[in-house]
Order: sequence, then structure tokens, then C-alpha cells
Amino acid sequence: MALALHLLTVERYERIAETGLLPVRGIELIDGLVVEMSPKGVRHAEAASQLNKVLVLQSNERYRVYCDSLSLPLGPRSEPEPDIALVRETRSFARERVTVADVALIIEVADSSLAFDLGTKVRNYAGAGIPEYWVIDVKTNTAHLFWNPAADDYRGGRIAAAGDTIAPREYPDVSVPLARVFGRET
Amino acid sequence: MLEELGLEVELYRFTVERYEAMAQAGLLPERGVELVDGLLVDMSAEGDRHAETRRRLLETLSDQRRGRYHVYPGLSVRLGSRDMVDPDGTLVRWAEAGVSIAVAASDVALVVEIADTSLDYDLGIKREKYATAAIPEYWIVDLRADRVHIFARPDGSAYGIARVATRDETIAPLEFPDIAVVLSDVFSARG
Repeated sequence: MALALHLLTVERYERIAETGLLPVRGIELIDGLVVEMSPKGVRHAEAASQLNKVLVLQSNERYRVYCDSLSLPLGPRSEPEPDIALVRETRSFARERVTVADVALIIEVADSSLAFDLGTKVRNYAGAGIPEYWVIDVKTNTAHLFWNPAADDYRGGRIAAAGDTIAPREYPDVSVPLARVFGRET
Repeated sequence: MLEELGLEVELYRFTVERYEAMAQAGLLPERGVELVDGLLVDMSAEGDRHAETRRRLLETLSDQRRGRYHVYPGLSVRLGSRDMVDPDGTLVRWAEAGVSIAVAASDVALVVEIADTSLDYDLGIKREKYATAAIPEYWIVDLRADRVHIFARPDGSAYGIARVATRDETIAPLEFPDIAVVLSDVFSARG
């Protein structure tokens, strides 16, 4: 018999967290399982920090950039904490919680977590209707871009190389030079 | 076994303390969940024959207890810092006050699991866990083959004594050898 792991709902996961029985940082709920986020190495931190800076500088009050600070319920059994989330500046932030409908782009920076970010996470983000999703792979200095979510996958996708400049589809004027993200600027 | 789940990520593992606190706060189902290697595990649903065999076995053990032990049908047993399981039956040495929430492995004389679909799990990871926690004796009642796997004398992560009793035998816990568990009375007819 395969061992059947007990799956938590987002509601229960949040109640357990509120009771102080889960670590405050470093975990997320994915498909009902409490997952340890992989330790973030130097390159991970550098890439996330550069992305954050580049995106914030060009926001013009159109969106907010959440860096490691947003727990986003995606459905009944998943609540990831993306490395970066671009949230449209169209809501009253003080009162309401960010929902999937507010999100324009999610970015995960991957070093050891690439398979998870390109597999389970794609299914989760696409399934929730997140319009665009980037996986920044700091091991190979490439970016996996996904857009046009369908049931549990994205219909659109391409891989950008370290020298490319990319932009969120919703904000095409925002330019993200990957060389800078990967720290390869000369 | 838990390494074979095929996940690309590490799962968060709860300690027994956090697990108990969650249970007390009503954040876990009342029944049907165990903590194994720090992970929440769903126990398989109990079928009719499982329930009937369990009732018969626990009744015969209970009838012969003569103040020497308690028989618990659903007791959480703490096996270590990240393991807390609910055996199908637990013989706990008699204590004035009974037990509070979870009993320690050192109070247990015998643990019984009734295996239907869970035989591999009970013979594998569960056996290793019970042996490691020094549970002195462990019976697995195999409903598919109508026999009982008997393990006793824990030594490290294994048991020094291992044998299989068939349904025509009468068995007894090592610690209470006068007790007669007539297996032909325990195995109910197949539905």
C-alpha cells in the first residue's frame, strides 16, 4: 500500500499557522502538503533582489512588487509564497487581502528547486489562472516564461537566454535585462 | 519508505509536541491520522471484517486482563520525537490513573495492528518504528491470509523473535503467557 499523506486545506493550514504551530517563514502549502522552501543561496538572493529593484523602479504606481512577503491562496489546497509577485495597484491594500485576481505576474527564482518550479508550481499557478509566470534559473542563467494559463498548464511559453531583455506581458514597457538579474553585466 | 514518495521537495515535518498541540486545538481530524517521520499520514478506512476482527481480538484480551493491563482500541502511542501512531489495539500495563492523552512506549506491553490493505506498511515501516521504540511485542493480524505475524524482543530497529501463527493456533502475549487468544475465534467469517 502506498502511504497516504494527509492533505491540509488552505483554511486549516492558516489556522495551524495562526496557532503558532508552523514556522513563520520558509514553508508553503502545495497540493495539501506543507513543503519546506529550499534554502536560498547567494545567487538566488542576488537575482531576486535585482528583479525586485528593476521592477519597482519601473512601476509608475501601476503595480506593487511583493518580494518574499506574500502568501497567496491559489485554491483549496495550495498557498505558496512566491519569490516575487507583481500585484496590480487597483485595490485598497490596507483592508483587503491580495487574491489571485490581483496578480499580474509571479516569479520564482530557482537554484535547487527547478524541477518543482517547472512542474508542480506551473500546474498550481496555471490552474489558479495566474496570467504570467517566470522561473529564473540561476544555475543555467536562463528564464522560463509562461503565459496564457489553461487548466493546469500554460499555453504560451518560451525560454529566454542570459543576454535577453524580457518584459511582463501586462506591462510591455517594463524592461528586465536578464544580464543584470544574473549579475553578468559588464 | 517515506523517501519513496517521489517528491522533488522536502516536506515540513512536525514534532510530536506540535502534533499534539494541533490535535488539542481541534486542527486535526479526531481519528484516522497518525504522525510518521514527522508527516501527517492518513490511515486506511476500516472495513467491516477489519472492525469485526478487531472487536473479537480486543474483547478476548479484555476478558482475560484480571487487573493486569488496560486494552485500548484507539490510543495514540508516542514512539519518538516525530512519531505518534494509533495502533488498532494497545495493551498498556495497569496504572492507577489510566493514561492521559498519549501513552509512552515504555508503558506498552503489546501493540496490535489489523492489516487488510496495509500489510506492507505494517510489516515494514511500522515494524521498524515499534522495534526502535522498544515496544516489547507487536502482532499483525493479516486479514488476507488469516494469520498473525508475531514479533517480540525488540533489538535495535528489528525484533529478535519473529514467527507466523496460523488460524488453528492459540497465542498469548509474551508478558502474559496464561492468556489464550484462540485465533479461529478471532478471525470472523469472510463476507
